[in-house]
Amino acid sequence: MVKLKLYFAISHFLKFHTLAFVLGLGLLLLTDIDAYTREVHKNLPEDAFLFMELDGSNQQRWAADYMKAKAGGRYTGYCQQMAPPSHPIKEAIDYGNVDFCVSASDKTHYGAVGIARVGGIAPDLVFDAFYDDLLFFSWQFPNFGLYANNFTSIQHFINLLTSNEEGFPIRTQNHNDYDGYAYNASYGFPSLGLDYALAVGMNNASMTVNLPGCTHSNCAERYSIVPNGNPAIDYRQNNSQTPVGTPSGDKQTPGDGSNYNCYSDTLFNNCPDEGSKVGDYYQIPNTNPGGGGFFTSDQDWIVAEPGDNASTFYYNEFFLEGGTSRNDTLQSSAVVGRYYSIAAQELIYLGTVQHWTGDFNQPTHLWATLGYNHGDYETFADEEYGPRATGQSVTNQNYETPSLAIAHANSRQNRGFSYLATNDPRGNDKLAGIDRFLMEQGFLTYHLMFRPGHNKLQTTDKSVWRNVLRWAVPSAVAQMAIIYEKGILDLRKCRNSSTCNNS
Amino acid sequence: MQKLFNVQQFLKLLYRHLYFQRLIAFSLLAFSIQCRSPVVQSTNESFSAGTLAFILPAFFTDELILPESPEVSTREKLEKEKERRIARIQTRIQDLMAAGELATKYGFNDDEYYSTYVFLQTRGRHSRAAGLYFTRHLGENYKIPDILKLLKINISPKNVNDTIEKSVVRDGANIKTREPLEDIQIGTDEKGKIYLSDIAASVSGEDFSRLLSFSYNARLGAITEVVRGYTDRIAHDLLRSEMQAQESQLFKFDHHRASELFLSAKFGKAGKGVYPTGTLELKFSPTELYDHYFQILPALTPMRYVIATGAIFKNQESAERFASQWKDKITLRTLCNRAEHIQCGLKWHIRGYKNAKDLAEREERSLLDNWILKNALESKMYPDVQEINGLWYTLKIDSIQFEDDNPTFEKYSWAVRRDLTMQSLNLLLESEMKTIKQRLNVQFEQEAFIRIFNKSIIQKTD
Repeated sequence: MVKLKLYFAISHFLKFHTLAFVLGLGLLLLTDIDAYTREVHKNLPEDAFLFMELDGSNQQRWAADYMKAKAGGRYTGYCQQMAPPSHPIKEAIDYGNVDFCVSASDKTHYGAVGIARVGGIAPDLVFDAFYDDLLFFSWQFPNFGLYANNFTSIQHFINLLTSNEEGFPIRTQNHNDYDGYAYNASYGFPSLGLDYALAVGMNNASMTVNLPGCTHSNCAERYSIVPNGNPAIDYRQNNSQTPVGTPSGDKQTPGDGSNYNCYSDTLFNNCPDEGSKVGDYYQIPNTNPGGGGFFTSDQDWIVAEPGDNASTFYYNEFFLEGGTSRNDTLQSSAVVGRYYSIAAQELIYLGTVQHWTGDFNQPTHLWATLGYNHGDYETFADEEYGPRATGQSVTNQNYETPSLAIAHANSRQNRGFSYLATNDPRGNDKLAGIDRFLMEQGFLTYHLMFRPGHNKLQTTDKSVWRNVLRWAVPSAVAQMAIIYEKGILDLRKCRNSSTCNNS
Repeated sequence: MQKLFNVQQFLKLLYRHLYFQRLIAFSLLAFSIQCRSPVVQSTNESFSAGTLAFILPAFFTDELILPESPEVSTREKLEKEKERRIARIQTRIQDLMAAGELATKYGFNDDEYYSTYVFLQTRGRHSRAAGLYFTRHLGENYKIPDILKLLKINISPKNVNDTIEKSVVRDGANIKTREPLEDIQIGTDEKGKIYLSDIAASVSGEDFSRLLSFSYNARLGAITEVVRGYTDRIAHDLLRSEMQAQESQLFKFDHHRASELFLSAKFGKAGKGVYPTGTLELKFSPTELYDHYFQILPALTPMRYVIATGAIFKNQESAERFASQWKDKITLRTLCNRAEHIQCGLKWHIRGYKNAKDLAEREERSLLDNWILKNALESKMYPDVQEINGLWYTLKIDSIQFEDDNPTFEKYSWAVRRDLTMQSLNLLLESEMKTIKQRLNVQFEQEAFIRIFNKSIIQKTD
């Protein structure tokens, strides 16, 4: 046994040194996930909105009209900004004092469509997930000289994998119906690659940071979509069982048994919780909290909350409830009347859901991995579909084919599903059910990889990537239109208390 | 006599008093001048002693904590460690200044997200400084009531919420307050009244407008955060004036830190969500792209396997003679019969790299595998002889099988351009930073720098 432990210790030591290669190769490998999907994430909700108006059902057209009425128009009225200037330092020199709404290069931040576009990228631009990475405790890999990545994107996956690239069985569904990203359940696990590089970089990263009460100075730059945002707690939705231990207001001391969620344990002895093995690898986390030995590693890691849970938080707790309860259940009483009273600026919370909808049309968000062309494909999509012009038909730019979107919309099983609450398969009848829509989308996208000419994980052939994009854009447009429709219908259903039920 | 003595004593006291007052005034003036004199100076900007004294504990906390470890067990070692840390801080300051300058060159100041991202940095600075100020005055554990008491601010988040609740009205699509924010009093401090507009400036306008629309419960939490932002700003200003740090210099520092985010995105070093801008576009000639295509082809389409034949020799000379004759088309069978060798006519069937870019994968393969694959990747049919573990090998690559049987430039043109762009941007950034650093010529007033560093050191108490 001791020999075995020593073997593990040595193998991990070697792994660490191998990492030096991986990190040394940093620029080469890590820039591979470079991705600026801001244009795609803005375009898709806009195209969904236009689809509702021009090609959607009567009900969708009505839902679009409702949003326009609330926002003061399509491209006019209320201007949604991410965080516009209200800089208190008047004496500061060289301050640009830019009016974001006026200066936005695409001029489309006004009205219902503007809110949709800004909401579409909002979840990528917050600084709300803090990890204790290899160098600093921060919302990102902060070293400009090497690489930067916003950790919040780790919460944008639904892991539908049952095996890795080699066919090795990987265990998911540890804490959710479908978990989010975990290194130990990624497509590349346990090979050395981008998933591994990041896992090492974020070694011993504690997920259970109590962000609003964070006392570490690096938390000063935190920024959430909602006040006092706290993903460690907020995103535990849909009956999530992800253990968070006792969220701390600072970095957590390794080895005290309280940090249930180390990001990874690829270096020595930092994540003391012991898991159980599947095959030869620890894949079931936290079966022995506080357990673990000095010479063994790879026992614990973060299973991030899946994107459908994060979506549920913004949809239930802020879009429908207006922040009334902020727990993991929908209080339908809080929704009553908001059909009439909801303000333009609150539509952003429905808009943020569309970010995850977009993500779930990207196969590597379901075949959970950071590598395998994840970022390059997204950049490709941004370059091709990003500069598309609405209402035109330009080859390799206007991927939003309405006839295909109609077909996608008609094929969605949950299209007519407009109950406020779902009958949760675990007998829990308290959810608004946005996750049901997102899961359906997730499975469709997951299976796309089995279609000939669509496996974009294994090739950089742009014709394959175009095939995927040709499928993904109309699919996302259709799904987003359905989600907008559902959002407005849920509000309408609760226009008064007598109708706010499941009958 | 007694009276006279008293008068004399009084005059003496007065003189002393005035003397000390003057002394104090002169000292303060000298201190002020010292605080304002530049300790960090570039051709473009400078940081005063006060600014540096402010920046160090706020942004370089980790460098200021000196642990009780073997590295610093003696005075000499301690001084060495301090030198190392000072050098790191100075390098970082140089990098930041250069980043700020470079970002400006690439249009950061005119970018649509400029004010947003600088705002976040400024707010972060307030929060960091407030943390220092509060810890200094209240210890490690403090809550909002303690802060309000310390700053002599009379605000109750609940009362603010009640005031807003009464004042909120809907105006078409928007939600706003009935009266202007400047007219809604929500508390008092030593100077007088505090208005809603005062605390609203602590968050972005968007956040504040959304806050108005929240339900009562949700708004209470949000207001608590806004009030905390307000107190952070007040504490920041107190600390800043205490240290005589200059706001314009600190603001530049905010600009520099935000610049790093902008540049990391512009130069393709950032993943999602770091800064919402695209990478710089570079133009390449078709020849450059085509050359690069051949260079990275094995990385574009994985090599399935390589088949090679060869022989092993005791010495280099025999191996080279063999290789040279082989190149001259003498058959392997003939050569094997003729030459002195350890083994001849060997056939290797080598599995290709899964990812030719992943150097870690090479580490797992044998030296022979790596050598054969290297030559295959470089398309060398008859590679130079090679020594491996004391033996000399010669080789001929017979065939290479790629995953894609028919790779073409057209298929992979996007990936080729992308790869070349990333490589070029890395080089460009390196060269740009070097040039800008030279131009900025950042100089440190070393004596003053060390003095401020020493004063800022946080002694480890546990």
